Amino acid sequence: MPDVDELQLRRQLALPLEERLAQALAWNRFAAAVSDAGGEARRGQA
Amino acid sequence: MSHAVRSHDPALILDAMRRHRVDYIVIGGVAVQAHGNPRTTRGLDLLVSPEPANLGRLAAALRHLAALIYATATEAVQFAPDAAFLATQASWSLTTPAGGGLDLWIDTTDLAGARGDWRALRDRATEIALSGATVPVVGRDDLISLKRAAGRQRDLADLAALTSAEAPE
Repeated sequence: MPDVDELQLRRQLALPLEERLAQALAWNRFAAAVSDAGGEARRGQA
Repeated sequence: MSHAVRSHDPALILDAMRRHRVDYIVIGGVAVQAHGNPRTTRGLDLLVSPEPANLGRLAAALRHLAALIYATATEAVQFAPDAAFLATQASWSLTTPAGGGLDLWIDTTDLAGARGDWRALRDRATEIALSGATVPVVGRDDLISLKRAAGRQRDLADLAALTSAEAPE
């Protein structure tokens, strides 16, 4: 599989700015939820 | 074809996997986030069981998501996957109307640094509770092995974070 990061960047840049921003916000919210869930899991194992 | 998913929420991808009982684990950047490194990513990477029945369930989930396949580096087109089609490659680079990438690895054939097959990594996976569902995430030591093998700048940064004292499993 080719370099996924480079491909993702090219694909993002091909999108309209408004769509890019909407996706960025959604992925950032998702990242925060994943980080919180991972932290909970680690605390549960401690 | 109408898109079944219009929200940008990437969690809907995981929800579709759960609803269709797909055997998978999260790898890649989202797994790095789950293991304590709060970095950005715009893609979801999943390692899936290669069992034909599982590929059938995966195909149903992808149809539900109205997943698109990249015909060129940046142009994604509609497709109608089934189990036989998904079995023809060891990895797939897709996207969904939710946005971002959806990269799939069918077993570990194309997954550099994997310490064993799908089942071995699944058995060592950790689970997190996300949006009311249990989501399996590749174990920290397996993730470290994958990152070490990938070896790009971002992987090395992930590796440093994962092996620091702040990200214990």
